[in-house]
Amino acid sequence: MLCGWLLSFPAWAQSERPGDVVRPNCFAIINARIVPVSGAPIENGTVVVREGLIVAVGANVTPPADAKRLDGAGLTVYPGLIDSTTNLGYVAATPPAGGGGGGRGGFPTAPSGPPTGAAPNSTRQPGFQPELLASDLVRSTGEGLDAARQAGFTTALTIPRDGMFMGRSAVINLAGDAPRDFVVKTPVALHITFVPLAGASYPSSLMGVFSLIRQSFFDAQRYRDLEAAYRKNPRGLKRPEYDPSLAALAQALNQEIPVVMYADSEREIIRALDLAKEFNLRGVIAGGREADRVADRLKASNTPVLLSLNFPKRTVAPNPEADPETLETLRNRVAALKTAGLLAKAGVSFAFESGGAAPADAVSNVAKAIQNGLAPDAALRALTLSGAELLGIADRAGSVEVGKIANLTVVRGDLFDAKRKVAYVFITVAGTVGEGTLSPVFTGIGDDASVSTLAFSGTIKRGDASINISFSGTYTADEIRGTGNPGTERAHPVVLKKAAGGGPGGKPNGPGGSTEAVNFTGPWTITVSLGPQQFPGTLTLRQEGNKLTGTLGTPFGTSDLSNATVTGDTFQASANVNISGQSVDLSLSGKVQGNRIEGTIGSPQGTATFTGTRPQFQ
Amino acid sequence: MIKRLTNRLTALIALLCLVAVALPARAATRAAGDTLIRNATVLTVTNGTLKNTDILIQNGKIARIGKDLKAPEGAKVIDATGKFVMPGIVDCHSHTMIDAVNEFSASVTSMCRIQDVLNPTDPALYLQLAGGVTALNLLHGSANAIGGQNQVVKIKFGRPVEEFIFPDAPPGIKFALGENPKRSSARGIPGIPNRYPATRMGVEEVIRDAFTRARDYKRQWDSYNAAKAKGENVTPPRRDTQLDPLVEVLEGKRFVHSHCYRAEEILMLIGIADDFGFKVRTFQHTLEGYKVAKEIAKHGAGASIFADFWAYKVEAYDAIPYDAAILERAGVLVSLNSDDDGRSRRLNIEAAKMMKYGDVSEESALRMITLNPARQLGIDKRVGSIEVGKDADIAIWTAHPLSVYARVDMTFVDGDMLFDRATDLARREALAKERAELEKADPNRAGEGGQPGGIPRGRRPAYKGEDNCLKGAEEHQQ
Repeated sequence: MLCGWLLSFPAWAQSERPGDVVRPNCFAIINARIVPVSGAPIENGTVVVREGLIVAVGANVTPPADAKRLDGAGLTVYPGLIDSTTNLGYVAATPPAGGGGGGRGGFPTAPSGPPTGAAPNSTRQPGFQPELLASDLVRSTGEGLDAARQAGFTTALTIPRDGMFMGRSAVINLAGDAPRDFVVKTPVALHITFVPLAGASYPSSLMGVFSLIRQSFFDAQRYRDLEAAYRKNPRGLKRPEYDPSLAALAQALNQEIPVVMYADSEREIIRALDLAKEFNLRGVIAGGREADRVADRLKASNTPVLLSLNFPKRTVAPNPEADPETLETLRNRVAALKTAGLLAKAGVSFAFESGGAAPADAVSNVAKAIQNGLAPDAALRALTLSGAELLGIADRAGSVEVGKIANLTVVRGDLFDAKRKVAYVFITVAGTVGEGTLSPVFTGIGDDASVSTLAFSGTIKRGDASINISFSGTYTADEIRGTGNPGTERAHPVVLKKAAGGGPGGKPNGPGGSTEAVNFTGPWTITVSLGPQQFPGTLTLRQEGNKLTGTLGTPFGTSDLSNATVTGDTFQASANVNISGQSVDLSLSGKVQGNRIEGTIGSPQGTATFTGTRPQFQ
Repeated sequence: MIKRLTNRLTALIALLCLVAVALPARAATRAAGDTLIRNATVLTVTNGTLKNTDILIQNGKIARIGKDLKAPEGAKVIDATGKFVMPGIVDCHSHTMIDAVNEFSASVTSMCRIQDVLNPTDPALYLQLAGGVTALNLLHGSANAIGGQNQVVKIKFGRPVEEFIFPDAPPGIKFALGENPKRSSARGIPGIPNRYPATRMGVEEVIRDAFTRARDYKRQWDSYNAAKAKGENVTPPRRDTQLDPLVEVLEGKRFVHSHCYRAEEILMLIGIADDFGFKVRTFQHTLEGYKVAKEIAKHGAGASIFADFWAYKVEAYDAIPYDAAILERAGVLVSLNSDDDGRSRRLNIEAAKMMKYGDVSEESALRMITLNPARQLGIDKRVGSIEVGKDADIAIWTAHPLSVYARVDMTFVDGDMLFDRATDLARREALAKERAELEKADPNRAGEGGQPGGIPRGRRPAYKGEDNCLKGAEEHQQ
C-alpha cells in the first residue's frame, strides 16, 4: 500500500503579479524529522516556509499564526533532491515525415529527428550550436517534469538533448507555469558529447568528433583574440564576423562557464580531461562510471563528476552463438556500483545525476551505492547540497536552511530505505475536470487518513491539453476542501467529495458525477471548423437561470449574443458579425458536457461546427 | 582499558608496517625490474645469433649481453636454456586498440588523430604480446585518399594509456590509393555517401589539391610570421587542422604511410611527392611493388607488405609471394605487417614464409618483422634488435621463432614482463571462478523474458577475411 507522501513547493515560489494566482504563502511542517544536510538532523522539528523561502528551521520553532500547518509526524523533510544532469522540460520534437531513417531497411541515414531547438542566427547546423540556451527551450509542459517531481526531485540541471555541442544548460525548479517561474540560473555550463553523427556527414567517427571539437576551439580562440583586438582599436581593422557559436565557445575558453563532457569509461574520461587541459577549460565529467580509476587526475585537475545513477545492467540473455562477454565487461558492471564510494574516499567532488534512468529508479539506485561503500550522509549530500555546489546554486538551494528556496522533499520514513514501498507516489492526478469534480481524484490516501492537511502541485490532462495545477486544503474521510488553480487562472475554491462506493482513492462515478446543474458560465476557447478550414474563437457566457448572455469572438471580431437561452445542457443564441463590410446573421446552438462544449454555427453561407473547452474549475 | 588500547595501537602499527612494506615492493618490481635471462640462444638481428648467452635488463634497457653475466642483487633470473630470445616484433600496420578506424565522411581527413581514440584495454593487445609483438604502427583506415594521423605505440598492456605512446616516434599520416578511397566496394551501400573521388584519377587530384592548399596555407603563415617579425599589426591566418599535418609532410616532419596495391598508382604517388618535394616513407601492402621495385628504391620509400594474402579484391589479383624478396633485392627497406588483430600475433610465421618463397636469409626474414619496420617508423634507435642500450622490448620463445612449433614464453616491454605463459596458465582457474561469481552478481543477471541479444560487433567467432583497412564499414552495413 502507498504510505508515504511528497511535497514540493516551487509552484508557490513566485511573486504575485496582476492576474496571478493568489496562493497560500505560508506553511509550517510540524513534528517532522528534518535532515538539513548542511547540519545535524533534527529529530522533531518544524520548518516554516513563507513566500517560497525557508524562514525558520528548528526543534523549538513556533509556527506563525497565519501558517497552514502540515502535520509531519512520521515524515522526514529533506532538501529538495537535485538531479544534476537531465533533459527535462523540452517539448517533444515532431518526428520527421516518412518515419525518419527507418525506411531503408533500418540503415541509419540521418539523426533520428529534428533537434529540440535551434539557435536562430547560428553559423552552424543544429547539434553543433554551443550558443543554444536551455532556458530558451524549456516549457512547463515539457517532458519528464512530473515523473521527476514524483520521485522527489525539485531541481535539475537541464541540457538541450541533441548533438555534440549540445548548448548551454540551465538550473530549473521542476514546477511553475512558465520559464519565468522556474529558471533558477542560466547559462550554467557548456555541454559536449563525444558521439558521432549517425549519418554519413562529418564527423562520422569518434576521431572526427575530436578533430571537429579541436578545430572549433582553435577557431574560438582566434575569434576571441580578434574580437578583443577590434574592441581595443577598431580603426584600420577589418571587423570580425559575428559568430554566436564561437562566442559561446569563447565563454568556455575564458572559464566563464564550465564545460560538462559526457564520459563513462576510464579512457573516455581521460580523453575529456586531456581536452580540458589542452584548451584550459573548467572541465566537468558527466556519467563517470569508471571515474574512480582516474581519481588522482580528477582530483589534481579539480574536476568534479556528475555521477550517473543509471548503473549498467545486463538486460538480455547473451546470444549463445556469440563469444561470451569479456571478463572486463562483467567486472565493469559490478564495479560501477562502487564508484561513488571510491570517489568519496578519494576526495573527488561529485554529485548524482539520473543519467537517463527513470527518476524513481535513480533514487532507488542510491541505496545500491550505499550498499557498495558510500556513506549514507555522503549519498544524501550528493543528491542535494553537492549538486547545488557544483551547479553554483548552493547559496540558494541544496539544504534546509533559513533563507534558501523552499524546495523540500518530504518522505515517510527514510529516503534510502529499501523497505519503503512506493513512497513517492502519494498523489496521482489524472483524468479530466468535470462538473466540479477532479476525477479520479486522489489515490493512495486510504491508509493515511491521519493526514488532514495536504498540498500538491501537478499536471492534469484535460482533453488533449496538459494543465499545471496546484492545490492546498484539508482532507477528511469524506471530502477534500481547499483552493486550487489550473494553469494561469486565478485560484478557485475546490470541494472534492468522496465518490460513492469508494474512498477518495476509488473510482468516481464517471464524468459529470456531480449532481449540480449544468452551468454555461465561463470563457470558452473554441475551434470552428468550416469545411477543411479551421479558425480559433472564443465564447464568453454568463448564465442566470435559463437566461444566457455573452459574446462570440472570431477572427472577424467580437459580437454580442442575442436571444440566448438554455435548455438542460443545450443552448441556442443568435449573433451578428461583420465580414468584409457585409453583415451576416449567425445562429448558434451547442451542448455542454463538463468543461467541453460543442455545437454548430449556422449562416446563410452554410453551417460550421465548433468544439471547445473551458480552462478553469467550475 | 589502557592496555587494550595499546594492544590495538600495536596491531594497527603492525598492519601499517605490512602495508608500507608491501607497497614499495610492488612498485619495485615494476620500476627497477632488473632481470637476467640466462643461457639463451639470442637472435640479435644486427649481430647474428649468439648461443648460450645471457642478457641483463636494467631500468627497462638492455644493459649487457654476454656469457656468464652476474645477476645484480634482487634481479629476477630466468633460465632460458634451450630457448630463443628475439627482439619484440614491430607491426608496421595495425588497427588494434583504436575505438575508430575510418572517418568516412570526407576524402581528406588529415585533421583526425588516432591518438584521440586509443583503447588500452583492447584484449587483442594481450594476445599480440603472446605472439611476441611489442610495438604497433596504429593507422587510420584506408577509406580516404588522405586519412588521419597515425600513432606508434608500445604494447604496455595494463599500464595507463599515456605509457603506450612510443617516445620520440616521428609522427606519420595515412594515405590510401585505389579501390578503398574511390569507394569501389562501398557504392550503393545505404548510409555510405557516394563520395568524390570515384576513380584513381580522382584520388590523384584529391591529393594534389590538398597539397596545393597546404602550400598556399604555409605561404600565408610564412608571410604572416615575416610581417609580425617586422613589428607590423597583422591578423594571423586561421589555423587549419586539416592542413597543418600536410604542411608537416611538406617540411619533411611527418611520415607518409600510403596504402596501395597497383604499380601505376605507386608511381603516381611518387610523382606527386616529387612534384611537391616530399618523400613517401612507406608504401603499405604494395602488392604490385615487385613491378616497380627499382622506382620505389630510387624514391627511397620503404614497403610494408603481406606475406601471401591476395585475391580478396580485383586490385589484389596480381600479388605474388616473392614481392618482399624482389623488393629487398632491389634495395627497398621491406617489412611484413598484419593489418589485422589475428595475423599480428603470427607475424613470425609470415617472416618464415619469406624464407620458403623468396629464399631470403634467416636474418633478413627476422629483420622484416623487427628492425626494418622499426627503421620505417623511425624508432630503430630504441627497438628492432637486441643491442646494449636499446629498450628491453624482447620475447623469449620456446623454439626458433621462424618455426611453426615456436611459442612465446615471456614478453618484456621496457623490461616489464607483460606476458608470461606460466602465469597465464596458472591464472586461468582463478579467472574462471571469478567469471562464475561475476555472472551471479545482480548487474550481470539478464532480465527475464527477453530475447537473446545479437552478436556484438567484433566478437564474431569467424575471421571475416576482408581487408581490415575497411573496418568501420561494417558498422554501416550491419
